[in-house]
Amino acid sequence: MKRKIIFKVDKQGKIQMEAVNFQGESCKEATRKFANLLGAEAHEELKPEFFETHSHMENENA
Amino acid sequence: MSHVVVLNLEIKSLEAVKRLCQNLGWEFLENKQEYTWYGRWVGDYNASDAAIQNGITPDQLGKCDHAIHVPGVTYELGLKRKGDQYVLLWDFWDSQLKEVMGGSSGARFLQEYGKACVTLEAEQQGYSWQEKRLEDGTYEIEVETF
Repeated sequence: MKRKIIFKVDKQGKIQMEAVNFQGESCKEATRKFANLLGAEAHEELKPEFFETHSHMENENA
Repeated sequence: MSHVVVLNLEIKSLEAVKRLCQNLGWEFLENKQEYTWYGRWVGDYNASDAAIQNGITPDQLGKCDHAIHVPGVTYELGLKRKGDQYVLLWDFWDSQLKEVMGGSSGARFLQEYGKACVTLEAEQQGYSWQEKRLEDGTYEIEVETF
């Protein structure tokens, strides 16, 4: 599965960022540089994969 | 009349502004220290986005570090350094400039700058990207990473 980031920039300049097929923190790593450049205007959307990995990690830590 | 406003945007990448200009056919005038505006402060615009309400004094109006000229439009855009970023100054009294900027909020500039930032950063990371325009005018940019 190809990993990709989908950006939507609307007519008001609002930006949504969606990371697809990433797992866990790797999506944060991939989107960090974009988010830094775009500043607070960018809204990040985390896909289910992010939370799946995190719940797995939480179970391991328990 | 003078209505110089500061765009609600922290400009972190001058390269993205240059790309925006290239995409729209605007001229980026590097190191041009003045941008064309009404020419004198007459104190008739004091809204929250007014330059004068955002740390710009009347004698600083019309002065900048770089300027942008839109072909066929008289007034210009000014980029003024503020710390490690830039702010965009412009006088929306020029109706043509107001139109190409997408209204007094500068919505078109905001959208084009966002797109330029994304595509530029994608290329710098070595990623490929594809763009499409949705029906509502939104840009959808798909960046394929490693």
